[in-house]
Amino acid sequence: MTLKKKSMGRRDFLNNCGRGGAFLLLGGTVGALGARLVRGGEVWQIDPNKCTKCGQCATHCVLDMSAVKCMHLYKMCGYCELCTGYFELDPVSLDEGAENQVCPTAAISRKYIEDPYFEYKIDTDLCIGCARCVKGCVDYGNGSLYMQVNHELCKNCNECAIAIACPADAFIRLPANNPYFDRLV
Amino acid sequence: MRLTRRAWAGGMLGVALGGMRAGGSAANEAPPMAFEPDGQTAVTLNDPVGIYIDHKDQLYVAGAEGVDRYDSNGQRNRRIETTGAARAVAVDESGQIYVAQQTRIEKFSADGQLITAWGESGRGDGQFSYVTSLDERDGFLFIADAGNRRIYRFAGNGVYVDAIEKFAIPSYYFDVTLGPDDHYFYVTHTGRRRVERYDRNMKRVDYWGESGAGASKFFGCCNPTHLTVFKDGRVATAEKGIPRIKVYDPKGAMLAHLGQEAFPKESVHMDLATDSRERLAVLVPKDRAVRFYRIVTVEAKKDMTEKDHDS
Amino acid sequence: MIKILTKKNTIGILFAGLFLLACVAGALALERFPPPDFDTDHTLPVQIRPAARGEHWAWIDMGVLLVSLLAGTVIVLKTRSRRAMVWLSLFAVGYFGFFRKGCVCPIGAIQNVADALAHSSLVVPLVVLFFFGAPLLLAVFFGRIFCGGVCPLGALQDLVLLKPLRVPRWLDTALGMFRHVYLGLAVLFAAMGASYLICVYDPFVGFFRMNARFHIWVLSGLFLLLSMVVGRPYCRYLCPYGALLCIFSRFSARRVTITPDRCINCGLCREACPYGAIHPSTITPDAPPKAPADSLVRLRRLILGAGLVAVLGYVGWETGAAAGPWFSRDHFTIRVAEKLVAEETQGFEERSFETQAYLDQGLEPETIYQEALLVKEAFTRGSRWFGLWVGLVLSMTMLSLLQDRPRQEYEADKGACLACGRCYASCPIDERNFQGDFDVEAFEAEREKAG
Repeated sequence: MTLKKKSMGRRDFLNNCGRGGAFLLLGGTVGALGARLVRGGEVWQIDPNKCTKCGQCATHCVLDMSAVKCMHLYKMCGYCELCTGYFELDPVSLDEGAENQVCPTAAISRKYIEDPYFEYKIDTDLCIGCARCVKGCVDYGNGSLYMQVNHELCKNCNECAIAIACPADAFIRLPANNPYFDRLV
Repeated sequence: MRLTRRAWAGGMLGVALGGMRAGGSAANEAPPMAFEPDGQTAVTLNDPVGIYIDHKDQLYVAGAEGVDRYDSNGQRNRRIETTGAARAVAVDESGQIYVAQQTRIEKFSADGQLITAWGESGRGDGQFSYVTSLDERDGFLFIADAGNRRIYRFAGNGVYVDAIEKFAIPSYYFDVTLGPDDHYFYVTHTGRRRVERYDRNMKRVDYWGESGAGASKFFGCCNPTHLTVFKDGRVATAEKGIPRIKVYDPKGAMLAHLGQEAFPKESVHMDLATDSRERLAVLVPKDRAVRFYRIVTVEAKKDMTEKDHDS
Repeated sequence: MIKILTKKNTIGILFAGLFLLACVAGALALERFPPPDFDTDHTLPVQIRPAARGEHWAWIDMGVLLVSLLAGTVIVLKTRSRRAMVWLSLFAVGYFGFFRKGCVCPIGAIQNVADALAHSSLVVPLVVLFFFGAPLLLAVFFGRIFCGGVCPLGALQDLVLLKPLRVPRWLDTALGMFRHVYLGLAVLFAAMGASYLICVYDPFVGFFRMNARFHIWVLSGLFLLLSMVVGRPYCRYLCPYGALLCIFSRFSARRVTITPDRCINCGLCREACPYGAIHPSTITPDAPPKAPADSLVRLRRLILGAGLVAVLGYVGWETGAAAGPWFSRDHFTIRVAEKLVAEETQGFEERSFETQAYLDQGLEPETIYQEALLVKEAFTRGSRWFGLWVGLVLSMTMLSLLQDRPRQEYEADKGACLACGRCYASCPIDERNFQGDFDVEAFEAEREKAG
């Protein structure tokens, strides 16, 4: 009986040491990383200067409909009559006909302002993030259309599935309190 | 996805090529003239955006540090440093140099001494928002302000005279150049994708230009970005998006075409000028060079290539 | 820790760049090209910038996790009710699984922590830290409560378990090593700035989101089918977080106990445990307790054991170094560099996405080749430690198979017990199971008679 008690005592002692060690290890790790929280949280975002408009954002997001959307910087837009983000390359005519539009879901609406200016608006609910309009606008126009992660929708996954697929390595982390790129001329 | 992107790129190319073919055949078969390279001058300035050739065939290049002047042999003979990045340059008969910055005009003597400077930023008459081009004739300056979407006329001493308003200019590309006969000046009305001609009363005389990806048309939101006029009234234009250069007769029929294969991808700011030998100077910022071309007939070009081949 | 050029390392630079950009934007407000002046009274629409919605969900998630963990603790230690655990499991599958789509989860959080430990520029969100730390902290005190009914992956497998087969102990132990290896691999990859393996090959998250790609669907289906006959295959043989919890819960102060001090060694709980986590009492009528070995024998065992650890550790260390370059091919830089080399040497019809995007930035191939060499070196260094870890796991597992300490009653294995509570429902001593009509004395007498 005494022998057994002694062995149990040692076992308990080791157990307590182990628990203390595990506790310290865990506390140290979490504490060290937690201290960085004063820098503020981070979220995923696309660097529009690196984005190659490949279209994979539309298909690689874990959400059914990608959280990446086309964003329109109005103050940069030329209000072009022939908007290369809105129209196919050689449109049959410069009107709202589906055959003229580059957007596969007709998410961009076009409104006449005054000659020769038109305003373009993107319906976020319809946008699938295919970047076709962005390609048109950046390649041939002012580049006021650009791809951005919409943080109302993004789940901010551990490892963004699009970031893995992104050929240009354009996915980066931005501070959560300022999660968008302001694209300047 | 790979397929989609290929299809997209392929479709784009196909459309562009198809358009070119269609444009060419509908008008007058293949263009009758061609571009024949005739030397180039290396540029040392950063961000070169504008060029000018004076009556002595001296080449001026405007860039981030100021303006460089090259003699007719391509040797740099002066650098004029400006307070801000130079965006455009023009030279008068006596060799005085006008340099446009974004909202400021500086006037230098031929040996680079600052004579006068003016310009205030704003949206009102005579104020500047985004000057992209200027030209001088008979003591008057014609200044293209893309931000205010106006062509200004100033006296050479900086006194505002008048303006043409309400151009549709979607981006900072807006070029003005004086014609060979002193009566007219030419403007790139980029938002409407056409070339317009104005007389000295600031009244529009005529215009031409069609929208489209076809070779003879102007493509995208805002083209042509730059232009220059030959002595016989032919007009050369440069475009961005699909970087290409074309020569039109005075009525707007295309004579020669140099497609995007000749230029680095995404080339912009391809400013144009002509010299006394009727050569076309093309600024290619991505190559840091000014290229010279002669516009020759297709037959002559063919002879020349054969001769090259033989030798 | 290890300094390499990875996409994660560039983030700090990017922040600096952003700051500069903001300054420049302020100073050069003039540079911005103005939109058209409209003759009509048209004004520019307000820019839409949807704010991150994550913030309040993060707090809700943390709250729900905390409450679930506390509930699990109470169920395991006080209520001792399998039925309550089933309800908790259902809730976990519903909330963390289908409603929150399996993200954040502590299993994936391992990678964030490893990544952040390797790259000081990274900030791990509070919610991720909490999800990583809370279940582990609880495990140190009360065992694997998280696995029992809070983890949506475990709960899902638990709920579909129909007819558990008993996995032989040797096989169980051998397969169990995989989760430690997987843990090491996931940490290595995350720390090197390569993929988050755990998330990429998560077999159930695609099920929760109903949008996985085909091969993951196949994996998902296989695991679910297997879960019907083998208790929680993912948890026991693959889950890297399970490996961590297993280590931590070995030191737990209190945990699942099966009617301590009153155990009649009937073995019903062992039958009820689908995970083979209950070890029988070593005291049976025909096998009296073994005398402890003398000190000389124990010393010899210790030396032999240490030798085994050293040998396998060394083999792992060297093998790891050899495997490093192979692992590194998962890294983005290496992928691009390899494609670039292939295109440069063998020619191409059309450049791949990645190389085209790389060259479009105006960078020279030589730059990325140099970067790739650095990444490969770093991977080789990291991979040595991974190899050492595998060697340790292998040797420690072998040693643990050799020794079996004496038990006076049926005991749940500290590491392997998943706190599902099935044993509670099977214990004849527990009054709730039999309303106290179980006659202990009659049972003992009968067993005596049977010999």
